[in-house]
Amino acid sequence: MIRIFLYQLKIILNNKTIIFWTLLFPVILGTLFYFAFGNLYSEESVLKTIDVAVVDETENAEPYQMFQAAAEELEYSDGTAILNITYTDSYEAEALLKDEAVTGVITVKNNGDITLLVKESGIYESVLSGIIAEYHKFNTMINEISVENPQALEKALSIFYEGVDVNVTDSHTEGNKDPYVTYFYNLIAMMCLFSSFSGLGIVVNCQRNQSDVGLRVNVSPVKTVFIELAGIAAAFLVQLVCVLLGLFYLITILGVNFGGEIINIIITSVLGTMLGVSIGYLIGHVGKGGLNTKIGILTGVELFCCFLSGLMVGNMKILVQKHCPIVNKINPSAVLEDAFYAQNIYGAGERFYGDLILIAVITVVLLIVGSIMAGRNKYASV
Amino acid sequence: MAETVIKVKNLVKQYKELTALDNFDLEIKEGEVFGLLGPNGSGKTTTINCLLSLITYDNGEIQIFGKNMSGNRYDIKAKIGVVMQNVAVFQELTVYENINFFCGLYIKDKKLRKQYVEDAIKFTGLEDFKKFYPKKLSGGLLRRLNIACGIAHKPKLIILDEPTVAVDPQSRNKILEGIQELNRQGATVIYTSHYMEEVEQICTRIAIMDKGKCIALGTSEELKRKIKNTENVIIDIKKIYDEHIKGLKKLSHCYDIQYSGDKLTIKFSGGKHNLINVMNYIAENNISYDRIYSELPTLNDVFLEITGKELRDREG
Ligand SMILES: Nc1ncnc2c1ncn2[C@@H]1O[C@H](COP(=O)(O)OP(=O)(O)OP(=O)(O)O)[C@@H](O)[C@H]1O
Ligand SMILES: [Mg+2]
Repeated sequence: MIRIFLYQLKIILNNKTIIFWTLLFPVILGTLFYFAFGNLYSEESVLKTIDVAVVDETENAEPYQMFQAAAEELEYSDGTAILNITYTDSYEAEALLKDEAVTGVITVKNNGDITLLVKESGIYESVLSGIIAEYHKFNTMINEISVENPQALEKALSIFYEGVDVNVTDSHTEGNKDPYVTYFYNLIAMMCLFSSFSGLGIVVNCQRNQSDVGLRVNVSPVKTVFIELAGIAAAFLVQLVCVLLGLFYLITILGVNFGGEIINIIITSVLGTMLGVSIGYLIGHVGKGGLNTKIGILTGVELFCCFLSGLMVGNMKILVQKHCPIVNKINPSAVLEDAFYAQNIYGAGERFYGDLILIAVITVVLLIVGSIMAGRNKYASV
Repeated sequence: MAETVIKVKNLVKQYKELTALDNFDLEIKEGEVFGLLGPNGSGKTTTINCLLSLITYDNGEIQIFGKNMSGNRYDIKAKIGVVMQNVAVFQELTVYENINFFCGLYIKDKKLRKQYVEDAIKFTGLEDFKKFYPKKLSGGLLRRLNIACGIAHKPKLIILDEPTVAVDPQSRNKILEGIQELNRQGATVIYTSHYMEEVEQICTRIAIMDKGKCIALGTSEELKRKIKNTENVIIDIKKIYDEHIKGLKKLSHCYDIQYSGDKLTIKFSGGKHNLINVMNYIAENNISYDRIYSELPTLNDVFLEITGKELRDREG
């Protein structure tokens, strides 16, 4: 058994086509991504203190002071201030904005309203608008409280500081919300799904109606399923190493900031690779035809899954979610992507674990169905 | 009395409308080198696939080593070595690794297996190519590797399906000698081919197949004795007149004359001085020719006489 496993390892490792598509191709693609989006990416990848100009247009100073106090309190979870404020008048503020010395201009109006002026749209601009929106909400609340219950004002203010901080942290600092990081997550997901090709290769090599080697395997006194399982284990191992190498390359060589916890990314990759291999295992057992036919079928199936999960047309996943949500729960590509997404944006929470369980379930189902098909070992012709 | 190794009764195999095997019977005794001879599409490979339970069949019984064969008779499979018509080796493994992999499916003991693999390599003359990948091997060497993979575990029954297709004469002889050597070491052999010379050379008994039926069975001598033809006198000749053909046909014991490709074949049934009679006729009629010689009937003649067609297209 171990000997068969080792030979299967060698068979996969020596298959240049498989190694190319599952390791080199994604790495090349990742590098291209990196250089294509590199500028945008590095500029926006690390959240830093945002320069803003604040303009006071109030007549009585109270709303202004309140905002000022609040804004200076804001900080990222690691303690660095979110805003670096320049207090100035509206004329100079616009000049600063024009010179890109500040990202935005915040104006506190007389009625307590706050407006934001930005030059372009980007992640810092959206952080700013998030802060403003948050402040508006609390401002309204504070006004209500101060009318109804002036004593509680102090307390409400302290809630506000906490609130803004928590909110900003929640949506912007844990995980990398940068859209470009999604490409790299998708790349890893693709590497996982590409594992299916070596899974498929193993099965084809063991099926007598699909390959000449399969014939030889079938006349031997060893049950085909053992040889297949040893091969599947080998395929899993090789592909996992490929994915991890890919990750390593992206993170350490290219310096991609994936945002999520590395351990969660690795767990997802492990399960994703299992998923990929088992897709190949199942396709290998469905119908006849040799390796090339099967590769065609497999490619078709996976492209379709990726299409449904929005890897090709951006909002496809949302459309599917709206009209047929179950598809997003059983589409391997969609579930895998969602797991990566969830751990990045929400961390290791309910949604992430739910996705992991789904991946495991789909994997097991694919393996079982494949084995059942393998068990029907009667052929009218080979 | 030698034991029966293979017994096939009333085997029927249909591929849709096509009947690939039509009530085929076969009985092979221990120690035989049994030849299945037939033209392309006669059902040789189908027979072997049925024997090994690789495909289902529509009717009939197959016993190997006295037991009913089926896909999960791993005990029977363990005693069989198979060399399929198509080369079946892993492109990703070297010569040595391929043999070791397949031998390992039969032989668990590491030391014994090592010995067996070395034996197989020596036996097929692949010593210099142990570390080669199949891609780098010539057609003949690849065939030898294919054989080594099938027989390394020293099986009691060896089934070879056209192992010499597209092989150079040197490799072919090596393969044929090897098969006879395996037989001397105690293996029973089934050998399919559409090359009658090979089958004649190594097989102790021959079944001639056509359209899924066994049309003749026996040793090559027996098969030849069964037919009318006893001698063929062949003249290499560029041009011959019809009147001369008619004249030759009147020679005693001559029953048929064919002329094709500058070769005139005069068929005799019995008679002792056929060649001399032909030469006399040629001398009397001043016919000019290149070469004249006499041949004993071959299995091709057997096939020709029974089916009315050639076993295979004459080469050249
Ligand atoms: N999978 C199949 N489906 C349909 N017909 C088949 C199939 N396999 C073989 N046949 C047909 O069955 C007949 C017997 O084929 P088989 O392969 O047994 O011949 P063979 O004697 O081995 O020929 P060859 O010398 O070419 O190997 C042929 O007419 C062939 O066309
Ligand atoms: Mg054949």
